Amino acid sequence: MLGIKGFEFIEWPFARLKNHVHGWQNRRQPVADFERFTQRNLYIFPAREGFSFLVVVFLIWMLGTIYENNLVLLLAFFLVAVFVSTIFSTHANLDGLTLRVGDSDPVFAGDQLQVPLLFGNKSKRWRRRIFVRYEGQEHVVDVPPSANATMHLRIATQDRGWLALGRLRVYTMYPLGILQAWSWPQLKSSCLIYPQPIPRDTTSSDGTEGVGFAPAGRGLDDFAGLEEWQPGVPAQRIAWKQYSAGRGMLEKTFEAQASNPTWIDWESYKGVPVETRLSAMCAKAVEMENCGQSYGLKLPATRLVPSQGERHLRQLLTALAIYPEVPAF
Amino acid sequence: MLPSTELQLSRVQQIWLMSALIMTCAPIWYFLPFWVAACSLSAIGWRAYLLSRGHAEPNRWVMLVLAVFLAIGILAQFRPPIGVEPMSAILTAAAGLKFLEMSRRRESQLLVYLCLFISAIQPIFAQSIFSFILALFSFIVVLTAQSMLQRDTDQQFALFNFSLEPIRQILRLVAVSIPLTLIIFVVAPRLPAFSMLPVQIEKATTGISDFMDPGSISSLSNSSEVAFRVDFEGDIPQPRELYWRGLVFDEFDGRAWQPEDRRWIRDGAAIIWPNRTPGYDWRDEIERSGEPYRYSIFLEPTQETWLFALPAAVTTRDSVGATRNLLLVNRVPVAQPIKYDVVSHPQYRHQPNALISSQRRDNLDFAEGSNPRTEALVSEWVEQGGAESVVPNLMRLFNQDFRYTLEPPAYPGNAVDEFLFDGMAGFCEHFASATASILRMAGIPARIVAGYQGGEVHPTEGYLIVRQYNAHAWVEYWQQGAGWTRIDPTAAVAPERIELGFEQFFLNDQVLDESLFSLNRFRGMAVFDWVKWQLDSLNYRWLTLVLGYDTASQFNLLQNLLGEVTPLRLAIVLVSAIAALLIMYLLWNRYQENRNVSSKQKIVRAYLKRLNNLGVSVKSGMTLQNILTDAEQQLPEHRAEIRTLTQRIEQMLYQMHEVNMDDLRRDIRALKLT
Repeated sequence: MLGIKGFEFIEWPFARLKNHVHGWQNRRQPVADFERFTQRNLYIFPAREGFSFLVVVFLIWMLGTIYENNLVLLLAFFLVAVFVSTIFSTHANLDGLTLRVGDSDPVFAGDQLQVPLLFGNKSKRWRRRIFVRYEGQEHVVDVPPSANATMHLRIATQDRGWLALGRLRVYTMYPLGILQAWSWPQLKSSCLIYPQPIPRDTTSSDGTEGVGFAPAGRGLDDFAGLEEWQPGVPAQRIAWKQYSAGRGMLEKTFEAQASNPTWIDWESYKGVPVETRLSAMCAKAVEMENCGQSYGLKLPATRLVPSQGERHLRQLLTALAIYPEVPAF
Repeated sequence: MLPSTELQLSRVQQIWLMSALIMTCAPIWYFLPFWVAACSLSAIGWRAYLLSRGHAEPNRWVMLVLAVFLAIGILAQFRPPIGVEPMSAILTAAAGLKFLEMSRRRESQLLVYLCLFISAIQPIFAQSIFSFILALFSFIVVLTAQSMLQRDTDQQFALFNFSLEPIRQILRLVAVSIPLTLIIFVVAPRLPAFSMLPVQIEKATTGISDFMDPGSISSLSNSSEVAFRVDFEGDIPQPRELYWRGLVFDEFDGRAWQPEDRRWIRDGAAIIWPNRTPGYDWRDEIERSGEPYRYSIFLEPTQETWLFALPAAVTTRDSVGATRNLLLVNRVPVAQPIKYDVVSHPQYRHQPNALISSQRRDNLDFAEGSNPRTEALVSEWVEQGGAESVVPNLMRLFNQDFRYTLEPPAYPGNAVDEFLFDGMAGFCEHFASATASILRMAGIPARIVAGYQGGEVHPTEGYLIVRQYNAHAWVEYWQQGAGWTRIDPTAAVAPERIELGFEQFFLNDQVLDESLFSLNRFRGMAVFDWVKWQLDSLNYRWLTLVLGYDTASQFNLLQNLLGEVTPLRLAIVLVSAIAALLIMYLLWNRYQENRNVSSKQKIVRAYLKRLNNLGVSVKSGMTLQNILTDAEQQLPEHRAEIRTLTQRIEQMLYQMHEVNMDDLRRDIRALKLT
């Protein structure tokens, strides 16, 4: 926290304090889609350079006192006043700035994710030297007047699911570098991380190793029922009759649409830990897509009819990524 | 990625640091031996050369040679105690070397702080308004350099796209800081100086010296520099009362005069300080009567310890002592303008009953045999009329045959003899010297007093200005019962000199050097006089309000403002000042936001006006969409342009703030009939 070499031993109480502060922070500045820095969530304190600045001011004041020189004292007081006004101008450099996480393509767990941070500046002033510190990275951006600026965080992903960005430290020391204004925004991200694809053989329902996937139950023409329509479904599968009857867009589902459709089935990995199971399903889906085969997904609460293509793969991987949540398609 | 403090300094940053360094050091180099400036400048120049060639690191040997040279120079030039001069020599030299050596932003922080400190030293050397503005300006440059260090300035430096934006930003900061500065200055308590360090400044100043030989005071008559200003509580006394005593010369070698107790005064042994009670206080030898004059003197730096006051003066300033010759002495040489309050009783008797033997002996010593012709004349006078007839005889002699002039002939040998019998023309020191030695020859204890006589009254402000050309020398002789009595032989020769003052007296004197009275050449021109007096009263205000703002005036002012001075009330003032600043800041932000809104309206208005000029009828109540449709119909050749402009304006209005308003404004302006 202090970052002074050789003085790490005094940091342990700060670590506890930090936990306290973060607990308080979670209540004060909860996870949000969008952060606008205001008096409520901005903090300001002298930086190390600020303390040495005050030492210089003190020395000048001493000089003025020793030599009984009013002009030297006046200059010392001037620097004090500059220090005070810098509190305002440093604060103003962040005040009113907005921050949200931009969209990014999903990646597999273990890959590196580039998360864009979007700073928005509605005012007519430049917001210069806006720093973001996040897990050992430090990035800086200048935001022009009435404009946006983007900065990319690099994140080594580990766990599948929606990316939890955690706390960022957004800070600035502009204009004089003697004071630091900062905020600890906690932003919701729309970045998705798929499970890491790790191939694995399926197990049969009795727990022994099986060969493949559940065979397609019914034929292509076997009508299975009506489901809520999703964009991207071929037009011939839309239930036009029901649509004209005013029941909304529905989709006729059939089983075994592909020539040899395969189900990637949760149940076929009995006894395997959840994460490993999802990783294996993920690997299978990628493999099937690469082979150009049609494949579907069966999760305890989710079913994706067999299909193929980039879009289908993404839907499937998303369902795997957010398990046990149910995707909204 | 490297932390920003480890980054290399960019060109722009280096140029700003260099400007800050030169700006802060130059006013101080002026007061230091030239080699300090030469060394620092060569370090800076070397860095500038490296910069222009694109090298980053200087040769370590160059550094070492410069550092050794500086160290030797400083050791050889300055003697302890370490005063402000060697300190600033070391600091400016260190700053130059640091500038040569540093390459990273982190290191430059030290340089910036060094520059701040050096700027703050400037007012110790000179306290005029101009030097203060210079110091403030160097602060601004240093702070700008500091803010440039924070910025990302990787672009190449070009003189023509040199941006003033950083300076404007700092100026805004400075403008906001000024009211708070003044409030702190007014309310912040002053600590008494715990140790008065001498300020040694080698630059010669004009003024009265503690050695008087023929010609030493007339050289001062060339200078119209202000010696001091006096603010009287009541009316200003008559010119013939204004004898500002500074020094007493009682040691005579037949030609030149100097104070007997010069060494003692330097050592401080012969001085009574206000806060010390000596065993025997010779201030008791003074008998005062009548109404005193009360006044404050604002003395310009003299680099000497003696102060000036009307006789029988008492002051309360801690650092001012009194000598047995009724003089005021400052503890350290006056290197900065000082203010001291004096109470003077014009009617006084000093040592009326007896002189102590050593004093009597010293004040009768006329260096026997050095001026034989004068001695013969005096013994003739004493034989004829006794000792009492000497003064009237002498005054009659001066009155008849002597001439008072700024350009007396040279008296290289027995100065008194040559002046009395050969030249018969002189300035005040010749008359004083002759009078004092003649009185001594006649057995009357006598001494010379040097100081200033008269002064000029400011026409509107009413304070008295005493200039160097008011320098004067006169005589005091001792009589049983009356004590020391003043006699001014110059008044006998040229009474108008005393009654009218120096300027009036010499106004029509062709001898007066034109260049020396450059201001006076324009005398009579009303405008010029007015400017001259306004400048002087500005200086006076500066002296009284800023330089002379001490604990006493602070207490008076605060008592007037607050009714009662308590820590609580002072704290309230400071806190409310900062609160006022905060409110100002919030209001300013609000104003900025509003201005942002109104600038959007302006853009819309500009766009509509432009369309109107192009022939599209724009009526109130029409939506942008209506106008667009109209415009597309009426100006088919501009359809695409108008459509994109309208889209951008809508984006701007509906808070999709990616729109660059400056670009938009330019594009609207560019919309023309082709």
